Amino acid sequence: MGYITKILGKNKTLSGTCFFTSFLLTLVLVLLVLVFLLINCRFNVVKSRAHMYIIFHENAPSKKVDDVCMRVKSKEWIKSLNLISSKQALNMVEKNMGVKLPRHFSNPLPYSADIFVKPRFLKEKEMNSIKNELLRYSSVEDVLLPSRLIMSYEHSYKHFLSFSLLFLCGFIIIEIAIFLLTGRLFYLNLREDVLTLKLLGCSSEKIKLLLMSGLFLIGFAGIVLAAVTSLGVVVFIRDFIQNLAFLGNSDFLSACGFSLIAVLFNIFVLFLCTLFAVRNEKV
Amino acid sequence: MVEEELVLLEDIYKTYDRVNWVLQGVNLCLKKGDVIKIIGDEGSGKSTLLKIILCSIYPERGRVNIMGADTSELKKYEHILLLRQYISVFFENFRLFEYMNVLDNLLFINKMRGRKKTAFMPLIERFLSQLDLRDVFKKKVIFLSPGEKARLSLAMIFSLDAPIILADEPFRCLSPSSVGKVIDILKGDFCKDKGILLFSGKELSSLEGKSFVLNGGKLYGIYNQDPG
Repeated sequence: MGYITKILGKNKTLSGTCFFTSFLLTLVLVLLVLVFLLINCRFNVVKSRAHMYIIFHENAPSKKVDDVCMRVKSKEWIKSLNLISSKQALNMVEKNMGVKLPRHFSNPLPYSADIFVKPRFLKEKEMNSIKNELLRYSSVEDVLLPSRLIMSYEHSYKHFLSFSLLFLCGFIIIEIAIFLLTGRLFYLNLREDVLTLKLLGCSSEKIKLLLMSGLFLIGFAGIVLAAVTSLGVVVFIRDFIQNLAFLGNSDFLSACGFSLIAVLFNIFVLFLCTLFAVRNEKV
Repeated sequence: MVEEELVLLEDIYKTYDRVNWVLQGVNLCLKKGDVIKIIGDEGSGKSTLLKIILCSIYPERGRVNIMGADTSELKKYEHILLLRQYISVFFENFRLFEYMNVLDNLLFINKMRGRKKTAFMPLIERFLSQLDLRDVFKKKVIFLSPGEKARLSLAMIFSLDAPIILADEPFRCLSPSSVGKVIDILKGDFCKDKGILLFSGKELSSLEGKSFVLNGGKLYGIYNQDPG
């Protein structure tokens, strides 16, 4: 490694190019992954605002209603349940309409429950199966789903997912091309020295190992710096990110995990490109 | 193979364009202890001959035998590289590692050739002194004068301690005193068991050895070395 840096001494621009190429590509990839994860979390936040209503039978006894609510609360898909008694419902109507109904007015409103489900269950198919499950209870008269909202979310989410995957794939292809071209540039710059070594009888393996280790270590240093920089940035703006996307600690840790995967992926790509960049020319 | 034969060229023909023959029926035998000088003008085919011995190019006809191995039978490139380990070459344009210093150049090439430190360090010490490179051993090659580069290149080929030494115009950039020092090394014990093949544009009468003239692709022997 010492010698490759000495040979590279002739072209600090080249070693700088290799270093900053890997640094920038890694930084951009990590930030892209983080941005997509944040958008995904934001989607979940918006999705979790969608809720459904259970309308109980008009004459359903409160004991039975409580029983249904208890059972529903134990379901895997439930996020929160808010039981609205007929009296509360009447109060809400009065409040919303701005009228005061007379005391002798008989309350026609049934018991109902406002249900929020976990974001990952907010899909048309899942929601319909939840609805059917709820309708099996004898005291439940109807379940109101925000069908149009769910379809709209699903549609947007699909678009976002395919766009982000396509964008990442495109970026990775460009990244591989840039890594390969930088590797070739590195090799071509040292070509004359390589040919000298071959004319003097040095083995191809030794020469290849020397160049590969040089190129890989320069690129690796760039990737490490990018990882440290992005981690520093993320930690620095942690509060802002968490407020922006309502991230919990587990979401934050998984974002760090995905960033680490992106860094490891770049190290792997760098290694592969190093293998292909150094050619065994015969002289 | 006769044991002393290091390089054997038999009836070598070479052309680049299939019209003009650069080499025509060249025969040469370099043995242990031999000093052979090949004299020729520019474009006479000296570099082609050197490349053929290095297996960098192949002749159209003829047989090249290096250290007993027929080069036409070497199928793998790695075998050619292995064979080159028996050869030290002085290139006309030096082919040094420009941004390394003098000492690093010597250490680097020896390490890359897989030689042991105990084998090459004493030689490096010796030739740094003998070729007056001690004062510049930390200087980068790019800052050396052509004469210093030539001396470094010579120190490099001597430190490699190969049985065959090929040198293309080794004295061109050297001062008379440096030429004398190099000739002393070539005449001395260090080169006693080596075969030395020198390519030059003019005759070097101060160095004993067989002289040949390469002209029109053919090699002619010079029998009378007396300048008078």
